[in-house]
Amino acid sequence: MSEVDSPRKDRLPFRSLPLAQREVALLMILCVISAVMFAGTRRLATWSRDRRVQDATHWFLRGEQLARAGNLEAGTAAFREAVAADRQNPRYVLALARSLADSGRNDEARQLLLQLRQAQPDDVEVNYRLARLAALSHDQAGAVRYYNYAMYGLARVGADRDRGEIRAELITYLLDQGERQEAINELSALDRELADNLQAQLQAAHLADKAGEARMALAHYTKAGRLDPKSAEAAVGAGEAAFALRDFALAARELGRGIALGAPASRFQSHLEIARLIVANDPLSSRVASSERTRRLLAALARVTGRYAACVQATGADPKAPDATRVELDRVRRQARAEFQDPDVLARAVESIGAAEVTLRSRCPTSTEPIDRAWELIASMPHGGGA
Amino acid sequence: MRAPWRQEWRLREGQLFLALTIIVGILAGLAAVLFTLGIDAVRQGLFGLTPSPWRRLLIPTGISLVTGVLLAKFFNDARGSGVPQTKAAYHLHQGIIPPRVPLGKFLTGVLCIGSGHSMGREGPSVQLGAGLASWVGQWLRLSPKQIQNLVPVGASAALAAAFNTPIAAVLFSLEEIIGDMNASLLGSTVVASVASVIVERSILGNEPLFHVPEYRLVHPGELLAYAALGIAGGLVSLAFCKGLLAARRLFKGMPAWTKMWQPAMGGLAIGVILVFFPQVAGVGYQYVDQSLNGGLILTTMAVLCVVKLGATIISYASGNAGGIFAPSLYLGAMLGGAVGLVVQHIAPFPVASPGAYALVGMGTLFAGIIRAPLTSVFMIFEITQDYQILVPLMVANMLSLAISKRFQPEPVYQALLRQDGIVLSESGADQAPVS
Repeated sequence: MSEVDSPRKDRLPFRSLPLAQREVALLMILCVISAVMFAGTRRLATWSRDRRVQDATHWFLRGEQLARAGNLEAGTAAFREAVAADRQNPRYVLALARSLADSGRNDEARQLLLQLRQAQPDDVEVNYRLARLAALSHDQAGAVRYYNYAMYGLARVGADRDRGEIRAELITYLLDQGERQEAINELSALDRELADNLQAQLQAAHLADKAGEARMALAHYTKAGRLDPKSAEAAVGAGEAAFALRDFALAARELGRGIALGAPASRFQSHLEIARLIVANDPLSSRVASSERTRRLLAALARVTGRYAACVQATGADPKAPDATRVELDRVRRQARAEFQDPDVLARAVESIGAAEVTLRSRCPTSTEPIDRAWELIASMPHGGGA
Repeated sequence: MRAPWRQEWRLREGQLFLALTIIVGILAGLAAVLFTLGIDAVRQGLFGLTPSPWRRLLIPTGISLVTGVLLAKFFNDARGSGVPQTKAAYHLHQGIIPPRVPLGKFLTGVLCIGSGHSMGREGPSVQLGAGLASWVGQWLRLSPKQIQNLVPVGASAALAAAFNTPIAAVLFSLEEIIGDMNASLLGSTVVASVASVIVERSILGNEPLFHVPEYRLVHPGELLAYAALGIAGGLVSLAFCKGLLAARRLFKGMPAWTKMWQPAMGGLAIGVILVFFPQVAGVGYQYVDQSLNGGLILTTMAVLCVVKLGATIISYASGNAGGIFAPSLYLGAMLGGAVGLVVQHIAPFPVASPGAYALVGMGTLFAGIIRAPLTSVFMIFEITQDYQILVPLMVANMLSLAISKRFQPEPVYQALLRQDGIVLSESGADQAPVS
């Protein structure tokens, strides 16, 4: 301690002590004051923090209430207060980010989520929300990355969300972006991790449908049908998928069952009728006697010939003018019944009738009936309708 | 005969000063933390969670009536920021600050800022820390030179705890209080700041004051936009300084008997403003944070910039206790955010998000108003922990400082002291006689 002016000396604290001891004593006193003040301030800070946490809870609940009532602006303001009062709680920050995103303030929401992600890189909800924001801002690479992070996080830390739910959203996004192959790859992964319940199976089936993967869709619809045999949606879905796969017997069966279970007939009747007509009229169908094959073919030939004549008349065309369709139909008609025992001849005849149907549909579209469409499909199949 | 161990007990002067530096750092840090907690508690107690418009109108008025009496009768030195008074104490009074000054500053500062006056807590913290340091020096009967040396040590420690930026606090002490970047007190201020920040973080946690995303210069052309922000910042700084000095002159020109009631007059005006713009109440860092994260729209930021400017001038000029450090950051964030949004709309090249401009704006206004450009650069660095934004910040700071200096040659703290009849040389380093 420096020298002190002598007139002041008598007013010094601990003036009776020698100088050396007095210095240490005074410093000790200051240390004690500091320690007491520290303890008091810490206690006050704890009290203040507890109060702020209470305030934050109040604002958070209020924000949730407002958000539920659809008042996004006020809800966001309440979540802001919650975050300002207790920034440490990621739940509040996430709620604010969600509210901001719902209000279309994506940039701010993204900033908050990125801050949260710095602290918790594996957080499923944070990555999932970031993926959605990236998708909204057409950042495809970012969206795929964050969706994958979210699914990875599920494996590491777990969350309320289902992995299949996130992957399904990723598949939808990829399909919307025209990334069909990527979507199909994800569909295969989804297949492995899908929950064994009706909704999950139906969702996967719809996605497969959307991706044009009828076989995968049929498998999921079939599984869904097994989980709930009374599901009309599963039945008609399976029927439609079978129809796309040209398994018309299955299509007819499932569509019929689906309509019986309550699926809207107006939407599925047309495919059901066509499928039934194909099953009933396909000459190349397996397990059909050869006489029946010939009968079916001749009936079709008679019908398409009549339709051809009606079309020529309706369009006012010259009936004697050279026409490839007429020539081909005449060629089939001239063949002896016995010749249709030969499968190749029968197949060629079916192709000719199908080609005539296609031509007539373009020339006289108004006269096209389900049986015509059925015959077009019969002719386009590589083999029978699979009765 | 004295025992040898007793001889060793005797501390050498350097050792004693080091020990005192650490203790002063701890005490100043605790005082700054208490001040922050006090403001928060008063604000919460007075306003609650959702104050009605009537409450927003009457509380600043009523509390200012009380603080008006306290300031006029007992704590006249506790008015305003505290930085000019600390400078004056350091340069003109050999660091002697009466113990009632930090006490009065704490009491009136907590009441004024807590009741919604548009003022900051950093300036008062500086005076609190400096006052405590001076009191410790006086109590220990240190030499006048040592007491003087403890003042910037306490000031930097308190600022470090109040703003959680230890480096910027040291620089502020050297740049603003001592007025000499080569001062021999560098080591002591660093030690005190570190001690103070350790105390602050052990009590309040290591939560940063602002949550700033990583910002960077996206395109070289952006430097032009930042230069424009620097010019705008310089003009707003100028408007603030001129407005503040003019309003203070007006209040000082009123009859002497009104002095006690002037804070209440300011309080009434603030109450009216708070009815319509509660966002400008108190320190307002919540809204700075929103601006930094792109959470405010252009109109809101532009309006808040204007209203905050007016509200701070009224609060300060009417003689309430509180600083202009935080308001200058608030103004900068709003101005920068608004400029950033405009740039985002018109720039023909990719630009950073408006939050980056808000961040640079904070430093720009700080450089323009407080005239501590180096402190401002380091402060932003300490807030962001990122060098990427420093080049735009330096460009904007330089322009803002140049404009502010060109049209308002005298720094605002010195001009405020001059209005009180105290004259310091421009650097503040050389003493000038009290007029």
